[in-house]
Amino acid sequence: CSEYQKVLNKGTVEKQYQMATKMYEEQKFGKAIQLFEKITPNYRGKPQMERIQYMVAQAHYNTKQYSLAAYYFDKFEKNYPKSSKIEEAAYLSAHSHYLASPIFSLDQKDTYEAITALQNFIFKFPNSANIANANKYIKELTHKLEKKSFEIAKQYYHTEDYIAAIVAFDNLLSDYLGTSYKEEALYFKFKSAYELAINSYITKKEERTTNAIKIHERFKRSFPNSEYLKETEGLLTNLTKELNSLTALKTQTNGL
Amino acid sequence: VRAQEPKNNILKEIQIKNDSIANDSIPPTLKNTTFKKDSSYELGGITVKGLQKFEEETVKVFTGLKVGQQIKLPGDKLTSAIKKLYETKQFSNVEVYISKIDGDIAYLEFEVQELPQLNNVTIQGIKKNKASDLQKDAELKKGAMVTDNLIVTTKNYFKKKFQEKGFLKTKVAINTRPDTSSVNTVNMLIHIDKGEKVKIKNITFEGNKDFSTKKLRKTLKNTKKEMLGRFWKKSKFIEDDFKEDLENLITTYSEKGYRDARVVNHSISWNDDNTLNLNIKVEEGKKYIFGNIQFLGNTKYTDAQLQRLLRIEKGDTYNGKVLKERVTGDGSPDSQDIATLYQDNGYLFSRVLPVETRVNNDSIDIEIRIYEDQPTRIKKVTVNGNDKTNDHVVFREIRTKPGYLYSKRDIIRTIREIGQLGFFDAEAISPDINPNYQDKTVDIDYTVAEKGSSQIELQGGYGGGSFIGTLGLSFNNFSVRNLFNKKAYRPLPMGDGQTLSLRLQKSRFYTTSSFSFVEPWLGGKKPQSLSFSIYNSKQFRYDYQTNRVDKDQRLNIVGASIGLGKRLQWPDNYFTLSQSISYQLYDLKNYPVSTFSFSTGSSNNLSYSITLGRSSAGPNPVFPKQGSEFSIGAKLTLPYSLFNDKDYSTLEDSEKYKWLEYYKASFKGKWYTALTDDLVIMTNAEFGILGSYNSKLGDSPFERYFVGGDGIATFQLDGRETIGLRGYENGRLSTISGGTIYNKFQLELRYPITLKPSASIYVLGFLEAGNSYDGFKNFNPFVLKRSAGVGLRIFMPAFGMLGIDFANGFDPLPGQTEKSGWQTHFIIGQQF
Repeated sequence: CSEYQKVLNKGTVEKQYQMATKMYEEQKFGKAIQLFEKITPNYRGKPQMERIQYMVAQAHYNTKQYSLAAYYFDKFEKNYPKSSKIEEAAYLSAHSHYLASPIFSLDQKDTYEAITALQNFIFKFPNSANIANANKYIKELTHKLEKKSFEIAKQYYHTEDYIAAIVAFDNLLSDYLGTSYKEEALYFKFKSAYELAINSYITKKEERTTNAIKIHERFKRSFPNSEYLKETEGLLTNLTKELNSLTALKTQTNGL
Repeated sequence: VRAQEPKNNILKEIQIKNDSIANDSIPPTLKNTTFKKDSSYELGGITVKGLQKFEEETVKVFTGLKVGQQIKLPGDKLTSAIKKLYETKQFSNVEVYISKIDGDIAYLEFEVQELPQLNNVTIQGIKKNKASDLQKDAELKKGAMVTDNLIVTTKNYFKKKFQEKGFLKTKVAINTRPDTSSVNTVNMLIHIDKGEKVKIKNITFEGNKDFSTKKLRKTLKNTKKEMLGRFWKKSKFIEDDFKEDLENLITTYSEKGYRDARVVNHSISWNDDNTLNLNIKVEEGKKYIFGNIQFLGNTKYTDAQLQRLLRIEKGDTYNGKVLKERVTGDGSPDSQDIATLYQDNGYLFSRVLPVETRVNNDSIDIEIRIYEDQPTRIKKVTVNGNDKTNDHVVFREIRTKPGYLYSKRDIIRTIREIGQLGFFDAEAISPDINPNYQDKTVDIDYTVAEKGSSQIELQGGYGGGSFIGTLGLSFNNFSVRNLFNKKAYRPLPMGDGQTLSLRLQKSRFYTTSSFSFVEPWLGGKKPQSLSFSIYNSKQFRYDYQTNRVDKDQRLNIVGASIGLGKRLQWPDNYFTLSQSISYQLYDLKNYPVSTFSFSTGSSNNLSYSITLGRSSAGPNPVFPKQGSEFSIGAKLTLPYSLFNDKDYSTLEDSEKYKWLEYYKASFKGKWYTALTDDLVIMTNAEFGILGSYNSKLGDSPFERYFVGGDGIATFQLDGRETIGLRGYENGRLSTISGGTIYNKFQLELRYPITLKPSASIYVLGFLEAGNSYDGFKNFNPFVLKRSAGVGLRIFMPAFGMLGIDFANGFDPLPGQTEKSGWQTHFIIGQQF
């Protein structure tokens, strides 16, 4: 360790380079990164730089600093498009973004970047052995975005803001066609519409009830075997009753 | 005195050469004639000439060319190689030659000219530390490439710096000399002669009839003439400021109805004593008044409704600025104008425009043209930047929701309320509004930036003859459900908006520990908070003389409380109602304390409290600029003595206070008013009373008020309330057993020095008055102890609030005749 300190603080550039490579090979990535940071300015534009940049990126990846690893792999990709390591770098860059992506309920900047990087990788290296993985990750990340959208909409439902919930579920359904949340989204959208209609002022009741019935029709058409149908058909009966009594009231009062 | 346009010779040159090669109009110069234009060759090798500092290999790498690759001559690969070399910004000239053609193999020769590098910079003519500051600002770093451009921009930069300070005659000369110690480097010598400061001797006006010269001079905010005794604004002439001042002059005219006023010209004349004179020629024009005002295109609101916002009548002095402010807003978030009225009620695409339709002698007719468009509904609401805080915590604070009408007011309120959470940088919350005209919808994206919200306190100290250790942890954005989720530790489970705090203090003779937890949205459905806390303290008798701890004499206190608080929708949604039940058990064994009237026995304090509050202060919780805070509360125990048939006149104290009984009522009100953008005045009034159900039992010895001092609640033995009143010693305005009534009034003027999230600092000046009274018959709200003073507050998220106040108490302490005088108070963790 003392030799490392000596080289780090006083060694020549060549010595530092050798030591950095040695540390990297011995899997002491933290120390290697420190040394690499020191020598990078001296090797700018020199042929060794390609190797250094790759090792820096890989060292960050191995120390689980995925945001930084992604940044360095991206840089490597841009600077050395003819490198023999290019496919590996492109994949690791995308994979780093993927690993940096947090749970659905936090900011999804890394998720979007990961999807873009993975798509670029698939486009550039269609014959890579990692294609299957890349596709798997994209699916996983897209599902995460769908979940985010779904949970936000569900929060509106949970806090009994049914107007917001209906629009939010609509946003989810139009943003992610074919989402695996479709059945649940339609179910909750109907429930929101139901609550809105049942608890509505008389002036808006007819419009909202008709709308809720329509939403149910769509739900049933899309998922004729849904387990939720048992519950929703019961609610539908209530709605039809409401609508009938409204029409009856209207005829009695001559449409007033 | 105008800055010269920087010469850009070198760059231009590079541009031209670069272009010509890029266009392929000039083939690479030939040294050999066997070359066929536009055919493909294999690259056999590269040589580089003209190198001084760089290695040949380095330049080869820069070109991006590889020996053995196919290359067209001329062709895009060669062009990009040259471009890449220029892009390194290391060369002033790059030329390419074909050095040899060997059948299908071509050899290239690059001839480059390296730019010199900057080594040392010497600045003469000004003070050394000033010089190094300037050098840093001008970014004259060692190793920078010295181009003509760099020299010219540096020269202009230095000149401008001094001219901005009033040294109009500053001269700057820059010389470069090769540095012999290193290859291709130069030293730079900058000589600055800033000369004398130029002052303005006189400012004269021509053409002004209705406005006096003195009044006009006043409108020039930054251009002042020399005057003895004015030290807060020095006389100097700065072109940019002067131009701004002239605009200000015209604005002043137009505010008084002189709509056509203009500056015809201005001139500068120099005097021999290094001063200058300014002469400004104005044309005042006529004074106008408002003529007929008409509203056009309004269907949603009536003329009368709009007129209420416009507040301009026919015949008023014409004022373009006020007209614009009342129609399109003054730029502040709480502007009261016609455009805001529409914007707050869904009309995002509405446009409101004041138009002068007719000038009739001296009156101007106005049409307010309104294009209402359709009401716009919100479609998507998103949040980004929440790297720690979960969506549901942020979304429950957002007032703009999908499906509702767009409202500017709601956006402003959302920003305020997200800021108040304390998890995000309150000054950096920004909404991004993306309207979609086609379907009359709008998407709103809020960008937030997380800030640290946990506080850690670890203290060790020597006090009262023994070591005292304190460990305090408070997490303000905790996530209890992730307590056992290893992945969520980054470094702690965060992001659900819960507060968790732990505190442990230990010395040789006492131990206290406390734990509290708050969930602000119990169940996630409604803003209904649940709080829970327990604490425990044990202390033994300690003899300061002998340094002994007597474990046979002890006092134990155990307490717990549970509370529910909720935001109300009525009378408005700034109201909160909170209720709690708390219990304390005091267990004494041979332990005499001044506030207790017995030394062995136990006492129970079971109470219910209820508080109704309203808080609209904000937007920054550390430094509120507007709004108010009110609370009215009651705390009471059961009236045991009224139904247990005991004769309290004969009972012993330890029996009398077995179950404490009392009731308390309190009122607090705070108002924040912004006098200017930053200067805020805080007004506070509060009142509290402690009473008893049974006159035979008398007022409780517990739960009393202690008025005076810094107001920091110290170790609470008896449920006392510490009321700050600066300018007096802590608690000294009350008797030794505490008062049963208090009142207090404050006026505090605050001015922020900085409001950065890392540290907010503000200064304050205050007037205070208050007093503590024993029993209702002694209460007299006009007998107050007064004080005034100044102070400073520093808020850092990791430490909370820190501050110091110097206050002068004008009245004597009870039982004394000399006034309290100057007192210094240190404030920790609490705000007045």
